[in-house]
Amino acid sequence: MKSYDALVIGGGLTGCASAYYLAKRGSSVLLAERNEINSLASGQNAGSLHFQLEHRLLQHGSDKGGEFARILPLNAFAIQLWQTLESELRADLEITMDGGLMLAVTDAEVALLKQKNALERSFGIDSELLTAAELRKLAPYLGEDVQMASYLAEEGHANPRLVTPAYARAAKRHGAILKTGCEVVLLKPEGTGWIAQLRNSPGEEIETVRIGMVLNAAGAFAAEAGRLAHLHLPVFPLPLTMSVTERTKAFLPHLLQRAGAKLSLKQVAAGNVLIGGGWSSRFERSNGVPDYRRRPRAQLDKIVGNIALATKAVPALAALHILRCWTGTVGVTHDELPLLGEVPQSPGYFVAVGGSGFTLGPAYAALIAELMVTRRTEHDISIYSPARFDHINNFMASA
Amino acid sequence: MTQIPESRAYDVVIVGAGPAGLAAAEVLAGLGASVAIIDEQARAGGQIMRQPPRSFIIRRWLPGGLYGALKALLRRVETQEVTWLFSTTVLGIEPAEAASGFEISTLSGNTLGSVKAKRVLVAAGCHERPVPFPGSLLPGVMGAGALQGWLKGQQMLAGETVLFSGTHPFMLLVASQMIAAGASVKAVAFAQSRRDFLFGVLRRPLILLTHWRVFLTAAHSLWRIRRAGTRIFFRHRVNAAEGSAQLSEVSLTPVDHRGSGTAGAEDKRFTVDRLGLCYGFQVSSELARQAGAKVRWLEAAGGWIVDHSAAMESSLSGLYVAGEITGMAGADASRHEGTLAGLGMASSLSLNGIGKLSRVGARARRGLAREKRFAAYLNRLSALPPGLLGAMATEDSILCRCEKVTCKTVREILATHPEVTSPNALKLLSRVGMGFCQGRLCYANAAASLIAAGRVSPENLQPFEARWPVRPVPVSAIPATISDGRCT
Repeated sequence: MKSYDALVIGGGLTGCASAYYLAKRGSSVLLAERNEINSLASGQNAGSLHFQLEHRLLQHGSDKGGEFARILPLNAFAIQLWQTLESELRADLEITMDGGLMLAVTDAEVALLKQKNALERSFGIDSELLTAAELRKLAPYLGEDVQMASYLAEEGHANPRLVTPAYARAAKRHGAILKTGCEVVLLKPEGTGWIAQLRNSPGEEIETVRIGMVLNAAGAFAAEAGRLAHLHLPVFPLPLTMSVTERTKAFLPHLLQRAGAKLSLKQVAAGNVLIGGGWSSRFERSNGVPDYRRRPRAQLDKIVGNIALATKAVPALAALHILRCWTGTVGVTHDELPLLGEVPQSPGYFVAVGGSGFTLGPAYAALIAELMVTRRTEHDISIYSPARFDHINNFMASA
Repeated sequence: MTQIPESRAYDVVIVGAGPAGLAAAEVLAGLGASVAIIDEQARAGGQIMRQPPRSFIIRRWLPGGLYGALKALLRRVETQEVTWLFSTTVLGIEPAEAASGFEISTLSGNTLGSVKAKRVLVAAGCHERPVPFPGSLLPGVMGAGALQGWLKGQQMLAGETVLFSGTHPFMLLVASQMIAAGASVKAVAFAQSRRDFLFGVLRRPLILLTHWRVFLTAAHSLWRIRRAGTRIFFRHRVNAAEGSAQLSEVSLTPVDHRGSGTAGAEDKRFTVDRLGLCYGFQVSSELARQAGAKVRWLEAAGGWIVDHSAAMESSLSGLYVAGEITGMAGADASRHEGTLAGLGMASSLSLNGIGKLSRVGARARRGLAREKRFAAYLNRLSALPPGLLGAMATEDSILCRCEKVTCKTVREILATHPEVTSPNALKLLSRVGMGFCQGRLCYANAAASLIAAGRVSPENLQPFEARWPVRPVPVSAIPATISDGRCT
């Protein structure tokens, strides 16, 4: 029976990056991906590198805003990672960090921005409030009704089609084994580690391996993967949608978001403008039941709403065509913070999912690998620990 | 602030005013159903009957026995009670989530719209299959069907001196039509051998009886081509299309029975201003796929063809399909399938008077069986020889014309990413299929690269995802429904 220090479940960004950081620290790593590398949300998201508190974190009001601000130290760590990632992975990832603007159109949004700015500064994120006049100079492409914006110099975007494959290649260079078309079908604790059974396609033969530690990096499917180890992980699949315009000459160097509405906007290296921001798509049904494993269905009214917001922020978009809309499913926790750490009831079982999975995926991976190999992390990640959902696993503990 | 206007409701919405759509409309309107036909073109008839503008006065439009039944169908339906929505593109079909029925999203000019229907027929036809080779994007390199479209729809010769090359006998028809209209056709070059054509017929001698009209047309085309001094080559492929800003020269290279062969001393060069290509057709099934219908990959039949019942209903209840998207079989098969789809929808809508039409159905079924036998012969005959794509594509040939992705880029990505086993994964890494056509043109060639590299078998291929909008939509057509910046 083959044996590995770590089994990583999921070949998305967090999974491939974790395989890389684990292998780099000298662990023998097996990664199991039941589809293809980067085939779901990690490759389908819009590639924002956003480090300001987002609309979805702000919308609950000031008391909640304080809680969500607990993500900010992780954001600061992620900024450093992204700044050096291309040289670390020896690959062009189309990373641009030329600044991001969170826009306020309404008076309520202006108030929100001011409150957010104070909160961020208290956590060491140096966002800066810009007036309409200042914005005309910095971002002349903005619509006239933008009143104010919060600027953060480190924001930007990267190409989701390139980042995960680059991590996968780097992980392989360090000896990690990445299996695609490979589903983990059984996981049980044995001694100080685990026994795992993998089903490889094509052929469907079952392979049994011995594992030291397990990392669940299954994204939207983390709850499903958790049940293999008799664990409940509160990660909920959320179907989203994005749109992309035809290519046009470079005119939009910044990442744009709205303070009080679901909008993210950027121009990618090829010249297309990507429009998203968390508008929903809808689960397809299989045999009458919503099926979150299938690619969700785009909803016309949501796309229209999203694009209307985009055109309001950047009126020049009206001269372009929408080429394509697409959908993907992300995993979120109910407090919107990531699940990052070891499950207390199940020693040797680690989780890294949830939250802003693209922006923070490399950070989750670096930190969880550090935790798995050294049993501690330099940055405190205890507030993201699965321990905060202890109550639902006290009955489920596998030991 | 504009809003998407309130949508009108019909018993049946038909997408595509070609032979299939027209035949279905004839049955349904005849039984009193409310029918709307949507087509991107300005007039009915589809690609096969591309009608010239109404203001044209043409003495003998579309002469020849091949078009007789189709022209009669067109004239009958044009006088029926149906709603025509011309110059209108369908962007998507949404099955209603709770009730039965569909909402069809449309783009007309710069206006988004929608119509509702209890049943939908998708009869969206097909387009020519492009192949990558040096100079394939040079102005003057066209599909044979595009050359014919100018002739039919505008009564215009798109070029003065023409060379045809490909695998499909359709080139003979277009060559003869262009000669009759005054063009100088230098040559028609097939990748197959003369024997392939003869043996194909000898294997199915009955088709000479059932399709004498087609063979008579082919013989007439050949006679006209020969008389004009046009040369016919077998076992030749295009080596390169050349010219500075515009096509001026085409070279042909001899090939073996697999379609392989490298350029050399035996190359033949022609000075022409148009190159008409025909390597078969690809079906336009993306709308049916977007709606949720099951499809199957059959390359020789036109790519992702839509599964259907005997009544032409797809796997998605209430969504019917007819014509080329069920597998390339020509205009007469499309007409018969349209009739069957019309009857199927009439029956599922319990329209009065359908009993009278049992003989119409029986006749369509017999006709369809006859056409499918001929289609099997034609699709097999015109299939690409296995080595042809590999021989034609050089490193610098463009595989995806919208995103200008070369064959070399695709080959290198496959070499550095052994884990890529699907067209979608290849798309994510290479941008193949991400441009204006959304993969309609390049999918088959991207899939062929994966198959040739041993990454996937034809049985395990997956299509590029098809979603709203299946055609690009101007941002300015999207109504600003949100005025205060808030969203729900």
